[in-house]
Amino acid sequence: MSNEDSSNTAAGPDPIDLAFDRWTALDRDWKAVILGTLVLSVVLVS
Amino acid sequence: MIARNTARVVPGVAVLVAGAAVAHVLSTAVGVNRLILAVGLGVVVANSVGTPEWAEDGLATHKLWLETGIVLMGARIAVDQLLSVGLSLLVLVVSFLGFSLLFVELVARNVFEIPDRLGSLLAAGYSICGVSAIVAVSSGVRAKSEQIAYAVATILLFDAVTLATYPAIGRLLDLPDIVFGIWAGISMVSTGPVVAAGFAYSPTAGQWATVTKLGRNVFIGVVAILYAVYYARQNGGDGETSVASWRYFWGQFPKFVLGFVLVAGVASAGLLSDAEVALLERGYQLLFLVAFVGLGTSIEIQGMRRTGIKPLLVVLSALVAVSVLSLGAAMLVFA
Repeated sequence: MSNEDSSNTAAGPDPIDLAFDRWTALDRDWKAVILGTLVLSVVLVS
Repeated sequence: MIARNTARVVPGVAVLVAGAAVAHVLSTAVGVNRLILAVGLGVVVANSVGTPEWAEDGLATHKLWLETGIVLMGARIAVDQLLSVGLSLLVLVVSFLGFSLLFVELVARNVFEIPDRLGSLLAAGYSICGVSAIVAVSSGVRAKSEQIAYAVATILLFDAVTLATYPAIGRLLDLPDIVFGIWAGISMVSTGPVVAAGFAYSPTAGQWATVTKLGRNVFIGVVAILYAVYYARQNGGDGETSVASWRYFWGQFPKFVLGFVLVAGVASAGLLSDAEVALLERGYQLLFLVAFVGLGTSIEIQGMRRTGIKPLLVVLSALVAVSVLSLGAAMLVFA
């Protein structure tokens, strides 16, 4: 579902769709940095 | 001296070449991937009739053929494509290396309560490059010989299990070549099975799997030094051990990776003709086939029974965690 579709609803864009769109638009390197940090954080916190 | 050494390995190498030829012929006849057949043939022979003593020195050269094949494979690597994903791939490799090291250490100590040194051997073995990593860190960790034997048996068991299951899972999920290659390179254990599983899936997946795995292997020196310093401090030292040196780091470094980079550089600079690249490709395919027969003969099913249940559960839990997370990450970043 695109942003355009979501914005037509009364409640505004679906946050999940918005997050997905933002993720898709991210640069590949940033995606790797975010996921890598998440993965390391999980094990460091535990 | 050289002539005597050569004479000692020739019979075993001849067995490897014969096995490779049989795998090639059988593959055409039964329609199964020849690399998987080569490994399977080695396993069946080694665990049924056994390998004769006169062939053992030659069979043990399989690692050399694998490394030589990887060096030649550099000619087929699309360096521009690799550079375009290089940073993201490196970030994922380092993150998952750190994750798996810490995960195995935590689970081994806190959940299964196995001795620290055995846990460290398993952590290094699973996170970097299997038996080579276990051997590299064992002196710094000051592990006992039975702990080394346990760790080696456990890692070899998972080499066999992942080699058998990964290509099947990849096909079941219909993973893109790049995703399968990076997933196998990050989450499988030793270099040989990673290359075998990758090329069994597809040539492109094999190249990505090998490159990703090499990215892990180059950290062997760093991890060996970190463990040596950690255990020296545990034992009351100041951490300034003789092993924590540049020479030690260089000693552990997998030098064939430099050959791979050199060949990839020469090929991408356009210094090789298409015919030469095609010749090198035939060369590494042949070397992999020979190496994988030897890899199969090194899998001793009887020996795997020596592994204890706790080390097995430690590595199994790490494999499941790393496998699931790295597959998700590879799909989110590279699909």
